[in-house]
Amino acid sequence: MKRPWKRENNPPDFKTLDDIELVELAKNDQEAFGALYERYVTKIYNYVYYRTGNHHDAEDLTAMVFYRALGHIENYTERGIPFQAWLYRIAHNLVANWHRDRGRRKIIPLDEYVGPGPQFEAPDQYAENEEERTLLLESIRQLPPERQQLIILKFIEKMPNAEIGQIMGRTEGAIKSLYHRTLSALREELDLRMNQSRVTDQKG
Amino acid sequence: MSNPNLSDVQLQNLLAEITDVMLTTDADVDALANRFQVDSSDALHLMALVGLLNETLEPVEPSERFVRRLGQDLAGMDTSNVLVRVRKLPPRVQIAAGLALVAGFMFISRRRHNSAIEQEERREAITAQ
Repeated sequence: MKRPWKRENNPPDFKTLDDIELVELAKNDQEAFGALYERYVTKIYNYVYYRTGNHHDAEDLTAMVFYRALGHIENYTERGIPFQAWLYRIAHNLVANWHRDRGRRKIIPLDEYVGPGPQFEAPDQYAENEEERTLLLESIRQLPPERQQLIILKFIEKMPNAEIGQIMGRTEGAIKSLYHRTLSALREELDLRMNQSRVTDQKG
Repeated sequence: MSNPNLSDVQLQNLLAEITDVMLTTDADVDALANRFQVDSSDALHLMALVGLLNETLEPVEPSERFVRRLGQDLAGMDTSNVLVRVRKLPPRVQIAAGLALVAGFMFISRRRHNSAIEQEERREAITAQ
């Protein structure tokens, strides 16, 4: 049995503990929860940021994720759902509620999203690529929430399919299949938007 | 993998493999198409999209101020009920707290009991008058 009060004499190094050990400690020990928070805050923030499109809401929702996790950690037991997956599920549900409450799909502020791009690009080429990235981000925002989640976990968190499967409650094979369908849908949406953009440019 | 007509499963596996390589190395789409001998136009089209996603989606960092503040707020929150918090105290303090609680309870009970007796006596005195 873990005895948190013994920590004063022999404090554990939280960084060396895995999630399962930390979660057990965190049920009675705020410092252990703090270690879990530090481990996951950036990941959750990234996820929420790419789902909401702005830093302000990303901060609010990230805070809500961790408050909720803290409030429910006593009841959390690892039954095939790792702590990380549990956190992402909380985030996913809160973002879904956020979208539902607002009844909107906010367009991503693209100047914040898109990186500087390779410096060696010629101005025309850079502008063209920039537009393509902009349209890509808009297209991602049109995908169903689960597909957006898959894209974020794959490209931002660089997670393998097995880990994504744990978070999304699917098998690795199902994730592969969903990934293929997501890419196809995204390609279609992007091509459509690029064609529309070209038509607009020609008219202009 | 030079078959231009890949089955769905083959295409899924190819995309999964190529994406993993792209995410972990600097290999570009053309190099990977050569390496995996991809002829399928569907696959090439989707590979180009994977490359674009990889270039466009970059991790962001939350502000240090936000991370610090939220961390402090979480650390200051009452995470658990009183019993759980008492369990975190050293055994001696737990015993002392327990005794203080019992003593307090006894003190209040006794006062209420005495007060009830006094009221009863007053009532009896009034009735007798």
